Amino acid sequence: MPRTPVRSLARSIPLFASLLIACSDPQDLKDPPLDRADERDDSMDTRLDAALPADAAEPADAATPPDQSDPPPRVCQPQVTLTMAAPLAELRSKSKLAIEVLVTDRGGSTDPHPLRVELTKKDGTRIKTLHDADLKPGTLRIDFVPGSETDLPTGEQQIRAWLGCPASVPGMPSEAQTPLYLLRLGVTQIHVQDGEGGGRVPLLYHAVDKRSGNYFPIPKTLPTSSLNIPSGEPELDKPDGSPRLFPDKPWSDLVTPPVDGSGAVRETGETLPVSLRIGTKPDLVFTIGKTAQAMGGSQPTGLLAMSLPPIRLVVTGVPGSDAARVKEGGQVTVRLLASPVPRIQRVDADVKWHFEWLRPDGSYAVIADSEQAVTLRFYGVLGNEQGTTSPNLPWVAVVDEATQAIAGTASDAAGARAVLVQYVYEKMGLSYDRRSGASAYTRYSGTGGWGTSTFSLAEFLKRSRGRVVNCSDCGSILSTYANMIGAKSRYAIIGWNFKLNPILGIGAMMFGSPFESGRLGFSYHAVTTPDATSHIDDATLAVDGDMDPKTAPHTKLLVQSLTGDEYLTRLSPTFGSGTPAYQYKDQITNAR
Amino acid sequence: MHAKHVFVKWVGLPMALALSLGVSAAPALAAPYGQDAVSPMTGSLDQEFRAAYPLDAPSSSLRLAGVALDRLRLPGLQLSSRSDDAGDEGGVLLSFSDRSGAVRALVQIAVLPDVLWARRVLGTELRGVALPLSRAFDPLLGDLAYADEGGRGTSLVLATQANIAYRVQIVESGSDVPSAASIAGLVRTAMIAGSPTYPQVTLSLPATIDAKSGAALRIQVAGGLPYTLRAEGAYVARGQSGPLVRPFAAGPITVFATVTSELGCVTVASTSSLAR
Repeated sequence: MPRTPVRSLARSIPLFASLLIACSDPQDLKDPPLDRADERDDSMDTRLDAALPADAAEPADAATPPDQSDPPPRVCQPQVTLTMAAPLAELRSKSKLAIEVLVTDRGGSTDPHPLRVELTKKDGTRIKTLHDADLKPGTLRIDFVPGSETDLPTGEQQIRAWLGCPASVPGMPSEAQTPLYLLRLGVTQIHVQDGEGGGRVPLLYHAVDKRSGNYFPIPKTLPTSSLNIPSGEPELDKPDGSPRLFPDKPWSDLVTPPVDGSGAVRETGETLPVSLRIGTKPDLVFTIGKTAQAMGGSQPTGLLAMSLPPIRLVVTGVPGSDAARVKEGGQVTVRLLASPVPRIQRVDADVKWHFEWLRPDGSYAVIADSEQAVTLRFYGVLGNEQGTTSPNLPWVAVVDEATQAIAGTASDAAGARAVLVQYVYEKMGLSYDRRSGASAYTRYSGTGGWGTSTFSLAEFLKRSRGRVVNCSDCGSILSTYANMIGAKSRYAIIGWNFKLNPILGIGAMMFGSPFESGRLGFSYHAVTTPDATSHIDDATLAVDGDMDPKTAPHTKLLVQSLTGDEYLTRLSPTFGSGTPAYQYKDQITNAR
Repeated sequence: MHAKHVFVKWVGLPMALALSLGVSAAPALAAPYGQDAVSPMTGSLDQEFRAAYPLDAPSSSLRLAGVALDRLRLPGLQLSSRSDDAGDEGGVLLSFSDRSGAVRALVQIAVLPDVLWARRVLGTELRGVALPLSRAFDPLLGDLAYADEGGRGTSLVLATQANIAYRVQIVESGSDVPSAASIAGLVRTAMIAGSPTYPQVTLSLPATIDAKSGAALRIQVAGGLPYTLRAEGAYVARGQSGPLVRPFAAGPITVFATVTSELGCVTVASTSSLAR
């Protein structure tokens, strides 16, 4: 059957009017009226427009078979109407975008009319033919799957329909068009910011490129997570068109951030850990991508198209907000509803988000297949008591270990210190230098000889000087680990040359002397305290916790926040006679 | 007054515990140094320490250029780790491990410009030992030495020989590990007479550098000795053609280079710049 050539444009129903009618119920987008068409006869020849009210189209009357007694139609008056469930689609979507084409003829002809439906650019250039065949008056559903196509342009395109007349009936053809916004939606970076509560706490990598002493405090401005985008390539897609994905897991190296071939820190393409004060509800700042893959290069995302309905970003678990409307290359901030770290712990949190568009009725609808996700690593800490300048900042390696050791069992400083005492004393696999009680990792200097302590923390983390330690080392380990998660801890020195009650040294199996020689005495002893020796923590030894610490039997008591006097009473039989005594009470350990 | 002082100290303790201990108000007796004894606190901790460890013994007049580090080979052990610091911060610390990888011995060597410095370093190292040590009079150990086990140095020797301070610590003893004193003897025999010569190092950075892109560091080390770099206010990348200093942000930057000679003389040189 010859086709009627297209001569002029016919009226077309405004897009949003069609959508209002088609999408009055949000469920319609998931179960659009078109589905009702699917329940009817599958033949395209008999699809009716029962889904649309009578005033939805001009005209909307379903074609009816002509009465045999009526005279045959002498004029063709075709009408074509386009209706879409949504005026936009994500370029990579594999979901069907339903396009409903309503074909009528006011002249009454029921013969098949030539129908062509195309996806075109705004200037009319054909992108893809969606339908090109004759159709009897009725409704045709076309499913368009953007993700099944290659090299689609972004931005405002058009769905155009041309409806001609049967060869046997003369008449003027009809046209209709409606915009279709093809968008490439995605986020390229996420920054975790302070939000509500205590906010972020500094973190530092202590050996960039595995080079000792090459410290790197993680800047707050560095993206927490980001896509890996080689220079000159589209932001959201690889050159082959596949979407770029956020890292599948957080950066696991505790010593160095990711570096490139020259040893420079790679600032994008990975997920770095974030330390938060416990209870913080952080802000996630999303940077919206600007470019997508196109044939031979990049193209904009389409978000700059005129008349595009507003689009917002929605994080799963957080109600959507107009404040999260997106623009190309812009930023959107979403505050998490709950803290990912309610206690001192390490948490790997899955964060998912998608995009929604604003329908004419004021409600938002999900844009299919616009989801992205990332796993963020959070450390829940109490703060930072280590210091404010590198290397005396919380080290990633230490915070990671300490928060995992505490694992949510504490949410205050005293609780944290108590857990860490046990961790150092029982879980680190350390033992006391029973030969001479000499330090391997700690060095004193400063006022009076013991005023300042320097802890070779980097060497300790590698155990490069072994696992045999003394009180100075245990004090350094405990105070540093505690300070780096915000549980204040200072060291104190006890002296001089005093006797000991039987104790259980770190790594020892029985109470007694800490030394192989059997000597029950220290020349000095180092402990830790949060409050200038009012309370004492000691991970070097356990004391006898019963009523008579001088003699057997002995009851193991970890030194967790004992009062200063009780501790010395249990430590030494001569406490109260002048020695032992706290000689230094509130000293800082410097880590390097 | 002393009894009152004792009474005040017991406030806050569980009363039963205090009574069970039968706390005595009698003053402790002074006892000879090195024995199980309690000495009353006669002064500050530092004074007690200095009294226990006098550092004013006569020194050897033969100045030393350093210790031939490549000669320090401990039988049955291998060098597993090393950290270098300026002499007055401890110098070179060598870790020696057995075949299973367990660290068995530590040897620390600090080559200082003169005897006084060496004695100060010795004093610093002694402050980290909880077991009272005895003066060791074996000249093989040094012109001033303290050691465990009555000065025999089975597990620990801390000593000076002229302008060199050193420490030998047995971390895990065993029949397969020499005594600290034996290892100290190896250290002594590796000492080279002469004046210490510290490596010549020249560092330079532009007076101001770009805070985003950083700048190349120029470093010249006489003799081509290896060096390690660290920075304040920046980190150091390898760079295409040499070290590249990458600032964290705008502000002052200092870069340090640590270079150690074959005789254990450590130079820590620095240069500063301003990142904008």
